[in-house]
Amino acid sequence: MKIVVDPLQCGCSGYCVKVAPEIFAWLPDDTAATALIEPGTEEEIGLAREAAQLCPLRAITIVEE
Amino acid sequence: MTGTAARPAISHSGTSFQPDGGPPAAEMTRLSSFSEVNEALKSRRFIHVVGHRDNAAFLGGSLISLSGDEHFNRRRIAAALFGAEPTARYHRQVFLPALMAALARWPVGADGRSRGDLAAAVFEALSPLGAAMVGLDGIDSEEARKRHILYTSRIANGVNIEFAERDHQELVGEYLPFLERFRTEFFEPSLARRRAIVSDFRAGRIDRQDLPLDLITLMLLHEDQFAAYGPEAMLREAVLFNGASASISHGACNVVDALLRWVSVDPPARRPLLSDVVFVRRAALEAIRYRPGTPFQIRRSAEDQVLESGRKVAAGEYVLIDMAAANHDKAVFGPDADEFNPYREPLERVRPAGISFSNGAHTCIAMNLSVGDGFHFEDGNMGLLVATLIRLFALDVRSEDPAGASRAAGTTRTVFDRFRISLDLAPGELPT
Repeated sequence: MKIVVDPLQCGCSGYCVKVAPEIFAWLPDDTAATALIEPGTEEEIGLAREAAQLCPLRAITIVEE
Repeated sequence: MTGTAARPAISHSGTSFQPDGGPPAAEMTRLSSFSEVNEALKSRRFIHVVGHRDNAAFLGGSLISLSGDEHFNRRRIAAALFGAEPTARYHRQVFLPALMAALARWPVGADGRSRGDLAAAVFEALSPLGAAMVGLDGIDSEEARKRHILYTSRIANGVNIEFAERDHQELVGEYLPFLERFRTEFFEPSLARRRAIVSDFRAGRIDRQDLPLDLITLMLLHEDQFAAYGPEAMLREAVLFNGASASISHGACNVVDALLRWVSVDPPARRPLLSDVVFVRRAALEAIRYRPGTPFQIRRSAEDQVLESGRKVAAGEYVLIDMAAANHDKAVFGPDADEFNPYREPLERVRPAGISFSNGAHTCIAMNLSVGDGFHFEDGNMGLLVATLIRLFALDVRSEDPAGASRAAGTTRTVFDRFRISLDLAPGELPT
């Protein structure tokens, strides 16, 4: 599973960073969030899916591999 | 070519809102450029302001009144209602059939055209949607449906009371009885039924996947998170989600009005509205940019800071974010920013509806339900407003009022609550 955050679409709600700080972080210039890792465990996969659902601008795409 | 609709009034005064310990809205530093507004909404260095509001009896302690982690926790509870599956269900199985049924009830004239008020039809169609989303039972009969619509419309007036031109406390007194009727007739019986279901779930008698997906059930599953906000917190959260009807029906009048003005000047422009879904979405989002429903938001600076524009903002300083002015910023939207132009070229990093659905942590939770993701015109989920437009233009919608949509009276907001239109819809005909 791969996570793609579209930096142009990101509205900086910060929900993904709050719900899964081990997976998402802010870019250094704070203009968008980004994915740090590809989720591996069941818990990480669940949190990544929740982050995608929470994102009000649908900037997070979960790519099943 | 551009349309002829007048420049919208920019309303950022006339509100009674004053943050605790802060200045009145009219005395705050006003941010009006798109760049400053966007930065303030997205930045974690600005805090969403919570204070006493005259609509507290209707929304106090609800999601919209919260900030920071409290707001995030509440949003996390409600997020399941706005996933792809429930959104598609509300849209296709609840809203559109109800809208078509409402339109089919309009009287038909000798010319074969049906006539009625668009705002009322959309509001009526949103009644079962609000009920489904919240989990309100008992609106199946015609009489109950009418009562639900009446209560929802009066409660919506209470929700927006801080923009009212009449005495706010008097108006609270007028609208509160409708909240009480909403509570006793719809909310409390539905709450009791779901409390029993959640109790069965907790006792292991039913599985999680068999729980209803609605706000009341979600609130009961996280009841501890509402306890701190008083006994009215769950009712007020239900009011918030039930009452999106008013803003969506205002939005429908706005976009249909803008488009009908447009095609009256350029009749061939009606053609792409009949066949090109991408163009219809683009036009709808442009109409929302042109006349945003929310006039302003307020934030407080968490620290001394310098905005990208060079403006210095001191720690603790309150800023009034002027949404309409930002959406008409010529530096971003070009020299025709004050005009409605559905052919406006998309901009990188700027959503077609501008800042109308806000940005950052307080981005409108119902944006996807209303217009899709608000960015990609080709996205499969077009949202309720765009679906409404497509149906209306397929039915040859025409304005029946030379002045177009009527601006709501008694409020400083620029919203439209009545729009008499006609359709080519034969009696009993029910388009899909």
